Amino acid sequence: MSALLRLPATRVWLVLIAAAVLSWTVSENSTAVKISTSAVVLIAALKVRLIVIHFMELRWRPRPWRILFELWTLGFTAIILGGYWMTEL
Amino acid sequence: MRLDAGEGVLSLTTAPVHAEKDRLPGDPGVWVFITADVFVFGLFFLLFSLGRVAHSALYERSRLVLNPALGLANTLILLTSSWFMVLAASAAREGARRRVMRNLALAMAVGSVFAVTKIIEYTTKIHAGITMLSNEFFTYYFVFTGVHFLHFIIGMVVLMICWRKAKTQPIDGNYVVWIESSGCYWHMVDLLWVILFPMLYLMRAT
Amino acid sequence: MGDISEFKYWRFCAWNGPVFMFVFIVFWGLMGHNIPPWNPETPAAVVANWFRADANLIRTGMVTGMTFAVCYCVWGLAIGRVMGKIVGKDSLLVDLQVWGAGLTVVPLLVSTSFWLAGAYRPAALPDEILQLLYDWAWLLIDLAYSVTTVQLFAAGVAFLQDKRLVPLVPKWLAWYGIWVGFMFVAECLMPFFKTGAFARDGILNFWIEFSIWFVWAPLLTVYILKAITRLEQEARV
Repeated sequence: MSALLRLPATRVWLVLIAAAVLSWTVSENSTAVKISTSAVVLIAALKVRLIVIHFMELRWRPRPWRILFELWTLGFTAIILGGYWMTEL
Repeated sequence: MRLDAGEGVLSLTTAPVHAEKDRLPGDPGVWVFITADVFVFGLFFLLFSLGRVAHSALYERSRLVLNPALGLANTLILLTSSWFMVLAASAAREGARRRVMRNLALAMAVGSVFAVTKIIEYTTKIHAGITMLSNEFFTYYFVFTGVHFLHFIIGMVVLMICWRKAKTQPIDGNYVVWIESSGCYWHMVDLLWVILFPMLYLMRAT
Repeated sequence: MGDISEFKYWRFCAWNGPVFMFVFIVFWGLMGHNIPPWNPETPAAVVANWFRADANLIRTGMVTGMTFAVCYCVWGLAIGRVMGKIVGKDSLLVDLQVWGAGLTVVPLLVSTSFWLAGAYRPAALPDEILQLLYDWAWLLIDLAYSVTTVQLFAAGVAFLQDKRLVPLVPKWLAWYGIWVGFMFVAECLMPFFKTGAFARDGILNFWIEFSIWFVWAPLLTVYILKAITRLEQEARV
């Protein structure tokens, strides 16, 4: 059991679970709707990075793939958040 | 000894292989598949965002019909299944057959609960008269989660194949490539849901 | 396999691919008002008047399209020969690919005949009938996707088994083809929507679906032609 807990994958998993629960609680309960919604989207982007970097193990070589993936993450985050803030203005 | 030009890796077909962290995990070809899929979903996110800008009141009204607790449950299920997959892949790199099989079985067992929650979600909506033709939000909800669900089903089949191979074939370099590739596909299924969940269920309008 | 001179036929058949694409883009696509197709919510009168006003252009487009539809099958046969060198000419995969390519000709031929029928005597037909012919042609072309998926899967699976140091067709292209085959399934949504991304002129069901196929075909042709040259050189030795 303790061997499992020491694994980086396990720690990453615990962070991911915590982040998911946090997103849900924040969105359900927060009165600062705009902030909490934005936080939820950003948390999702961070979770995606964790999954790709630690579960899929996409590192910095070959460089182009990692760059492509980071750009894609930036892209969808910008699109979803951008769209959200446009409706809130 | 076998030189496989497809990965540029010299592998001994009977000894375990340690993952090198400076190459694409698994078969590079699977990454073509993953990249293409991920871009199509990027388009889905764009379509949804544009729709939400154009019809924010409709989207918010419709969003309230969804059950975020089920959405959260789905996220936790897939994350956990992915974790077992990571453990299975590292077990494969150490040549540990039984550990590979156990973790794959756990990945599949946990993963299959996703199908249960999804079917519950879909059937409750359809019984309430809500379908993909009800409005634009629900078109996107059913189509995007539906396409995701198809990916999930394919993923479960892939996991089953990995498990069978672990049962009947040596846990060698070849197998490691196979399980890493399958793992990357499964993590993609997980990752796409991690984005769909907040986008569909959690984004609140003021 | 036969004579070394057989390879010139393989090459001729492989070139049928680009010919097919050119004809389809120009004659079916542009002349037939199919890039993109009429939005499903276009009033029947508008579609009908197009058939009446542009009858000869449509007839020319469809006649040429129908003549050259078979080129897709001929192209598939060349792919099949190269596949045979990888998985053996008796492999079921070769048959599946060839049949897939051959059956793809059916929706192409039949749907172009509907547009041609609409343009044959449009003045005598009511608007709704002309609209039906146009709709029917698109429903057929889109929903016949699975015959092409069979071709894409069979080719992909075969090319992935190439054990050559430098494969005849690269593995990434094989994977891409398999992905395209899966993507076609989204066309199942097309009959349910008259507007938006999933309609016949939508960003997904028209622009993406057709583009990804029209990227695969020329790329594959390039590699098939190169493969034929390589195989010819190997045979001479």
